[in-house]
Amino acid sequence: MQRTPLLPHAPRARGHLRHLTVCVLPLLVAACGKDKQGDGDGTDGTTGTTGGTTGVTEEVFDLALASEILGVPNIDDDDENGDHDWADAEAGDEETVPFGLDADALSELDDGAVMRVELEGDLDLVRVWHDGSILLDEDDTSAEFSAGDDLSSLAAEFAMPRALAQVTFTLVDADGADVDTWQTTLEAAPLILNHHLQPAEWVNAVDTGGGRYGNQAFITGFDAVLGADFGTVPGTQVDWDVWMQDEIEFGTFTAPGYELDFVIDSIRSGRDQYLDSYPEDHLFGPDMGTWTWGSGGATSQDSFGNLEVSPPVTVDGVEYPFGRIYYGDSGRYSMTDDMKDMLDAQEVQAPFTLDIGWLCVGHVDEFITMLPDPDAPKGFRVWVADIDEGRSFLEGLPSDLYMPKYDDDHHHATPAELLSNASLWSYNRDLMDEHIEPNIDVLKSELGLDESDFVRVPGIFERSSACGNTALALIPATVNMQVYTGEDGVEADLFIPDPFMRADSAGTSDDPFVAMFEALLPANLTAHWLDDWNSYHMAWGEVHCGSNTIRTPAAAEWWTDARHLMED
Amino acid sequence: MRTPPLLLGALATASLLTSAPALAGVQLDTLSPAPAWAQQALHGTAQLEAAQPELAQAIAGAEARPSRSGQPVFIEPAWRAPEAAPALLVRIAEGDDTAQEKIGLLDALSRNSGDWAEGVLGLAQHESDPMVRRMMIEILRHAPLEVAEAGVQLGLADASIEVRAAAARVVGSHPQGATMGALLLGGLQDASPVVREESARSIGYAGYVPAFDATRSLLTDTDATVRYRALRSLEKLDSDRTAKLPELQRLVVDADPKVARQAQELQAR
Repeated sequence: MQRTPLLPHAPRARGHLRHLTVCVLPLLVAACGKDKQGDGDGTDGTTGTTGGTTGVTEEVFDLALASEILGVPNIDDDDENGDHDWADAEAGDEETVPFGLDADALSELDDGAVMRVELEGDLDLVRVWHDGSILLDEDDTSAEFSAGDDLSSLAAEFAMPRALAQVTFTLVDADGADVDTWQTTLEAAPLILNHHLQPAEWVNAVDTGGGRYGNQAFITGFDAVLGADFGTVPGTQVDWDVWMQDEIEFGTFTAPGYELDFVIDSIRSGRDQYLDSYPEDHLFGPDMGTWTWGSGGATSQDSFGNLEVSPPVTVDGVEYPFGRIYYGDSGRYSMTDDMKDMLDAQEVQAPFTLDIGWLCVGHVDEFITMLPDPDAPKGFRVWVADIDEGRSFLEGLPSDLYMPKYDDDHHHATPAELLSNASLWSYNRDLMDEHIEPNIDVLKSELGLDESDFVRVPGIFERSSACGNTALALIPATVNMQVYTGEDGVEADLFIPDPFMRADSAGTSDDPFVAMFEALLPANLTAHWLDDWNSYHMAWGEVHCGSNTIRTPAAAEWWTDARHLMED
Repeated sequence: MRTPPLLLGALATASLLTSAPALAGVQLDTLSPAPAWAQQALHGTAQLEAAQPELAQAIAGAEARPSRSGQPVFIEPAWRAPEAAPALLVRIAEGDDTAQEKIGLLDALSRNSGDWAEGVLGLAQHESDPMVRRMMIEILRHAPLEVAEAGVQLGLADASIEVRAAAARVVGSHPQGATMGALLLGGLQDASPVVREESARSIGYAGYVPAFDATRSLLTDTDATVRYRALRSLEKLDSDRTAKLPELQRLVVDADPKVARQAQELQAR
């Protein structure tokens, strides 16, 4: 898994370690705490131990411990050796979190007295370093220190998001009796996935060139707008697998003083085929972690076009400052349990599911997206494909408007032909009544939305005989777009599938669908129409499916803004 | 041909879980007596090889690309030209493609503007793989009426549930589906609930009103999916009449919540 900088524009290296301030809430345990043992009994935990028994007095010790030590999982590859840094188990890694005591904290210990340090909790996921070596882990959960020992180099390291452990310091007198106890919690950040109101930093896609299967227009369209913020990987290296959205999902870890970009590597492809090796070969490295949850046979629901996040919402009075995760589940086919369990365990983005069993590919990005809108009540609106809007739009077109792309590939040459196909509309009526509207109801309920939070855009689906007779976008699914949000979290460049509802394929200026759609856009959004017809649309995907975006971490801090969503 | 990827569609069948072996082909020049469609396919391919050797070569040897669901697809725009149809038919008949790849080839063929329908109907009678046979019947939704009708009859008599269901869908998807509606009366009585459901759906999509009472009989079907689809189709055939059916009294309290909700909505109108 060697990181190979093949991308012309690599993702930026974020200022990773701003400072090493250990978290918050100093707990002056020994000298002033009324419940120093933390056992909740209201005593100081030293009753009966003062006096001459040990000669140790509580005033000697003032372990200025933080109540909690927060960090990020050490699963990037700072030394670029191809392995996760946690597996390297080397001291001094950037993602370890110092929580040392004062160097002279144990200087006044009496002869024979010791300070016992113990680790409990997720022992396989948390370790404690001391003086360049592993002090506590799943093999050694306890250590003792004597007078004069230096505990200033203690540091915590985490293997996984939400890893949780406690370190207990116990003062033991010369007779072996516990005299006093101090405790601190070691906690790894939750994995937080990105939403469309977070600033975008870098977009990537697979470049299949200009040949028979080429996507030159698609690549050029991105490059013209984003320049250095757009990167590609040659199709020859990834078996022409253009579905960049589906292979990886970007997220971030944050903790006070720490940030780590992260990419989830889907199980959708394996055995080094297709995009399987792309995350390891091109993304994994310093300050970019990666991991895969799940194994074995994948369903289409394990692809990450089926994993999206809403902008921040408040639902029934509960604030979700990082938004809520939504993914598709057909009941019969679903994301792998390991992945679902991981998403649930993060808690702060409280996942919910949508019905996608009716869709050919079965991804949520096939029929909805969420776009920033400063004039919207919630700061964004949900854009959803709507059959009735599709029919109304067609009825407003010249009935004999020749649309060669539709003639060649969708068996309908004109709006009149589309409108006169009763079977097509019966099918679409069923989709709207049985799936799209119920999904809208779920979104309203789970995100605290109402009808004013939705923008319904024309959509028409066909029943694909090659895809289990499920729904494929007939009009390119314009909601299946890539959203490149600006630093203000409001302005955004939208990369949208060209609908080609016109006679001349050369430009979009005369396309009535483009004109209609752009009229719907609020002023903060700029549309860029990409030709994705042959390489994506005809292969059952669109622009969003074929690209992916790294985003700046959300400004909210989970340790203060989202504690109400996390179990104690 | 390249092994297809292990990426599965939302409704992927279990057989897609493993890479299928290449299928035995049908040598068109050995069929006896030689059907006209086979002769035309071979002749058309020879013509293409002479006139457009690059296209002929591409059709004969092109590898599939992974669609977003993993189903192999062939997205070559030049294949949509009518002169490409015979070569596509020959590859489907004689090539060593896997079942998934043949489905991809048939999907590409269905977008071809040439004369391929009789060839597909003919091949369906020789195809041993039910998945491929299903797709052959399925794409006859784009065939001229006479060929589609023959395909529906052939498909409804098939031993495979999937093929019979595909035949039922042809009626609901064909521009002249109502003309074939009577063929589905048998499908409504099929032993498989999948076929009964698809038959009911297609009767609604095709608007075949004479089948109203036959479809109505499925409102008491033992399978909830069939009851639901029958109700939806009856609405399409005659919404007012459906809303007054006495069966609704039972359906509004149907054990299946989806059926009950649909009946309640219909009754409330």
